[in-house]
Amino acid sequence: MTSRWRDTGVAAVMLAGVFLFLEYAPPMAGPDGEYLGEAFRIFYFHVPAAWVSFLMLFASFVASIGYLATRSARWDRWAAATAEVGWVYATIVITTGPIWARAAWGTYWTWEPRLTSFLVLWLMYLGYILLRSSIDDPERRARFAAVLSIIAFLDVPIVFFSVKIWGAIGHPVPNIGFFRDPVIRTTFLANVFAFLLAAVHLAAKRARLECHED
Amino acid sequence: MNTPAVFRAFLAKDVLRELRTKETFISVAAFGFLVILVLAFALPVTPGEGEIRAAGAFWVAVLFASQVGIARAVDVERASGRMETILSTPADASAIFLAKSASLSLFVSLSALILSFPLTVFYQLDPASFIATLPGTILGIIGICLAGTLLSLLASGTRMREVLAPILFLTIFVPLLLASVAAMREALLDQPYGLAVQVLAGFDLIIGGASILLAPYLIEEG
Repeated sequence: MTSRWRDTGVAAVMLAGVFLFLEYAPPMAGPDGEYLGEAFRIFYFHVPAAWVSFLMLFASFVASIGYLATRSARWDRWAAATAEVGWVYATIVITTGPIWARAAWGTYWTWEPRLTSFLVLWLMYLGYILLRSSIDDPERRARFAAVLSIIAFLDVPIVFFSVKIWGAIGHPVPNIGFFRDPVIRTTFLANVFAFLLAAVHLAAKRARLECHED
Repeated sequence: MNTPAVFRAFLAKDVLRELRTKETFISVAAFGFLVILVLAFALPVTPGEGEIRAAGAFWVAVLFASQVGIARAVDVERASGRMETILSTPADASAIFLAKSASLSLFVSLSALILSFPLTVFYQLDPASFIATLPGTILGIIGICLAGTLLSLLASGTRMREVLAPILFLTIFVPLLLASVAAMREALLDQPYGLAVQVLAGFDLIIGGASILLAPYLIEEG
């Protein structure tokens, strides 16, 4: 498949996701079928971005281990690309979350476990990006970045656990009740697929760019 | 040269050096004292909240002061060229890292002990209540020094270490800060603090273990 056809395909699927989100995003229903309000529709956007962000950061973690084990620059390129894309998606999550929180909780920010741990994750990968930009030697950069990626990924579950113990209020958890309605399910899964496809595509482009830079 | 021998030799070297220069001890104690003083000015103690404020102030002081002290200790090794000399030996890099962390833990603990005196005075605490805070404090300082040494090694090899070091320190230590503050607060209030100590032990084992495994990748060429 040529690059142009692949790019067009990705753009078409993303447009379909955006179209479903904007035109057909049905009202969200709670586990018992209750109407959850207009603000809840942001979850068609917010949850897929969060899932794909975690997936990309996990890919960066795996690629970092791969780099330290093999010292192949290919692993480092993928670690860098997936971490950057994961961070961009995490930025979407950390921006859309407070918009919903303002409508649902009456405040943009609260120190509840998921928000706090996500903010810490976002800051850690900001540190990862800063670290990469501040080392010139490619081998040293790859090695240091791989170490930080592993530490950052290990720390996030501990942060979540700690904040949960001493946190205050809860964050809504995706419930199977949300997905009983086939229209909700289709819209949600279309968005997950679109976000995932865009992320993989962007990561592949970024890895190739990194290869050219090297 | 086996690992315990390398550890003992480098620990002795780091402890002797610190006893001569007192750099880490003085910088952590002085900076930590200033942080406690600033926090006491900025957040005046209200009756009945002394223990809660004191726990927060103590750990903010220890965290910030440790970052300064650990970063300085690592920078001095790199800047003086001692790191290159150490790397020219076939010594186990994990043992070198562990010795550095252990010596830093020792001197940061001594500085923390010094900091407990102004804390007791400013926040009107019962000095005897500090004994119960020891398990949490020791575990917290070990965690800070293990992961802190690793993060300082990371940051010291970059152009932006002044910006990068605080970002890495203050984010990675969020669980440690929460658990340390909770352990100290509960101990000062004579409440059960076992859960917080468990979290601290878990943090030390996971991050400390990862640091020991990953540190050789950071000091293999200085």
